[in-house]
Amino acid sequence: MSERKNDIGPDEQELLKEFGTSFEALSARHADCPKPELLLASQAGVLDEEMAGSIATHLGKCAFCQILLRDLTEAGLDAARPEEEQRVRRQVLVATAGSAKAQKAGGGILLVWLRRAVPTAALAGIVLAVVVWIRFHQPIGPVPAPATADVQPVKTAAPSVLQWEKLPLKLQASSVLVMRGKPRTAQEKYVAELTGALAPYRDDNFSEAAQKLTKVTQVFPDGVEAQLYLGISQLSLQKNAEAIPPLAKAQQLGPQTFREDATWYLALALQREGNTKQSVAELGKLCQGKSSYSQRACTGVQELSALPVARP
Amino acid sequence: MDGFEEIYRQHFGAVFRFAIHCVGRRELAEDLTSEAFLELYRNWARIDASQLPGWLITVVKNRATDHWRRSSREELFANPPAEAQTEFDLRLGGFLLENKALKPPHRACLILRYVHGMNREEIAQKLGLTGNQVKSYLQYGLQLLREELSRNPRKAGQ
Repeated sequence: MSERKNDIGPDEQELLKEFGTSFEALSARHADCPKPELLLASQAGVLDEEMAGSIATHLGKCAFCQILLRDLTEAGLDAARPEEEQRVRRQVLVATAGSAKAQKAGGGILLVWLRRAVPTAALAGIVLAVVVWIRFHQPIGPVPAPATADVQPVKTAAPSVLQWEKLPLKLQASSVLVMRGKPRTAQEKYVAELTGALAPYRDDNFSEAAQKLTKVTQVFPDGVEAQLYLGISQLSLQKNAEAIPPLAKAQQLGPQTFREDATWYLALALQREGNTKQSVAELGKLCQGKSSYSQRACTGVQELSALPVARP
Repeated sequence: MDGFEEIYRQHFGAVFRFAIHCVGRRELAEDLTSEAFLELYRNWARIDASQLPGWLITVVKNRATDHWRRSSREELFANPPAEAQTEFDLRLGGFLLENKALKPPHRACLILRYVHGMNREEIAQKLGLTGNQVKSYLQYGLQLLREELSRNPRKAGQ
């Protein structure tokens, strides 16, 4: 049963009161109803036998769940919205950017789609989708370090929450707008260079990623993605001092979601370099905010504050 | 990779719809859909177009099966002892079944609201609707319910 915010209107309250019940009582009474997604899944044949059997039993005795299942199936609510289609397209784009197959195909689907004009009317949707995507695809938990032949990140003993983790690939909205296909603009060149440089990052080859991203930042110093992923790659290689300038630059460039990422990794770089005071200051910024890093940052501040004073 | 985009455009809708039915959560359906197309991209050389969209659907189905296998039964099925139905349940159930003016989205909103106890934002997310659409559907449904109740008022003692 999901947690419900208090958005009950007076008309609803009045009606329920008339029947001597309340929202809480209603929810409690139907707490044995399976989640709607389980009802759907039971029909798609993706549940194990035991669970599918339990749901079938429940459906046999619960009219509400029977109605809901029928309506979820018939309401046509399963069609993708434009922003959902755009998000999927972007996920495919980013994950395939610069791969060997794409290069073999003369740039692959990324460049094919980059060159294709996107209707102007869809642009607003794309920007919105990117903003939403970026907002909701923050890393929420530690991601295991990649197991590759590349140099592996060495985990520090403390603080426990401030560990290196691979940030999933993402681009900011302005980098997506070049999908309109304006030929040979600086922004388009930046995205083309960036996607090539991010390919080894995607494949956990951080050494090559760092080399390529360094070149991109030399040509496009204001490219926030290049600065951010360069810093993260350097960190994965234990080149902590080298990671600080690009991360600081990314933090300065923003926008907010990239600033938060950059701040987190900057705090890690500073901590590894023994600059605990500045690391705590950076974590403090995140701790006061409302990003997905906030909770971990607050814990990091507490843990770092409890450490003996580090070397200057 | 000639033709990949065409294949994507041709089959995206069907694959996404199937993914929604498999996992019921739109953001997860997005992930499964993109995974299926990425898998197709990786296997592009050996997949025949005649195998589509079946091949993509199978990828989604396998991923969805893994997803549910990983989910703990306790998390999915709280299964506390349900209390007995009240008059409100009975009246709401009868209204949902019999009122012809209600369409599937109205009923789905009403059930998610009054049976599953969701707020408007959660309903919107679940059904892929906007907050205003949910508000409108709920208002309409509530208005019809009130009319129904006024035609057949609650009897004393119930």
